[in-house]
Amino acid sequence: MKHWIKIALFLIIVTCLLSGLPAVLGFSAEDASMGIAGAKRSLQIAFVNVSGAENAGGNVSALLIQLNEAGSDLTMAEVAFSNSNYSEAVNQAHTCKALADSIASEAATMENQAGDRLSRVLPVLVGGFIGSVALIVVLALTWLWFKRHSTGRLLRSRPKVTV
Amino acid sequence: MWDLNEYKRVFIVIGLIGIILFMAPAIASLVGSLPSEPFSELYVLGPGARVENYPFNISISSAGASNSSYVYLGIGNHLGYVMYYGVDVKFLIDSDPLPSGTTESPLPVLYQYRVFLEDGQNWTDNNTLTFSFANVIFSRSRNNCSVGEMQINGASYELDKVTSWNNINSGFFYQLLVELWTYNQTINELSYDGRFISLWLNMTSTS
Repeated sequence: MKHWIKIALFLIIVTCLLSGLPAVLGFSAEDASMGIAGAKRSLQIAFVNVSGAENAGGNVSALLIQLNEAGSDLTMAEVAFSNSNYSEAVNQAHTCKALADSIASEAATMENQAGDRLSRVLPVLVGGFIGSVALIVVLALTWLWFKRHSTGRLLRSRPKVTV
Repeated sequence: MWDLNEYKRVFIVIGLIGIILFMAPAIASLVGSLPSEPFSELYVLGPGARVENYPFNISISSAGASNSSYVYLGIGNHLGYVMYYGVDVKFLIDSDPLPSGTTESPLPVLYQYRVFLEDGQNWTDNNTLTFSFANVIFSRSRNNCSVGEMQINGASYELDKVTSWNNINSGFFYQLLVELWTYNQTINELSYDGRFISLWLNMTSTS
């Protein structure tokens, strides 16, 4: 009985090792190529979202630092690929993709929070309009008072004519 | 003494100036602050980050390899908005076509930098492009030089670049080409920006 248990354990261990072998030994050129292509797409999406967040008025400086890190990871993945180090290429591409996806999500949130350009400008626009109308009203009232005062003074200073 | 019409003009002028002052922030927000002439810059500096001592003569040892040379790369964003830049590095023989203001070099990209910059930001610090050569063979019988391998920033690239002796300038000439690409949101890809810099390299044998 113990003999069978040992055989079963041996088979289980061999199966586990074989199933994990590709991950340990490395990946194919196709895996690496697909990983790099996916990372490139993610990086593009992240940039487009960051660009949108900037248009919406968000401060994207921190996101750009992260984007540059992701860009370096992608370059390193391509370098590893050109050196036929496909495992490293896949790892670097995955690191790039994970970072780029996180940046894309953060940038999208920032864009939504910032709102569109018009909604940001609207309070300033309305404030400027109200201020202008108030100024016109004050000036008109001042003008009317000044005109009446000035005409009255002119009439009072009219020289008397004696015959 | 002014008459009433002159005072009226003064009131109107004060009113107009006031309206402009009240509306200025809103107009500025709507128009934004775009630069008058948006552009990107690409530059290469020699060792010491100066515009001198660019690598030119590449000494090839008897083993067919060279020491490392390097230059500094720089990009400046003056577009008024964030930009995704690609910097492609290519290696040419002197008869290969150079890029133009509209078309990139058809040769394959050996190495690509990816840089993201805000408006007014420069990418300069410690961005070295380090390169060296291996498997370089000078053939006296064919009067040519063959470069079989190039290393860029530690990455190796197999090449088969053969150039003939240039009688006019006396050398085996190659060019290290750097192209600037910018992200085009219409086609969702990096597209050639029309800016490039090429460095002439002369392979010289020390043996």
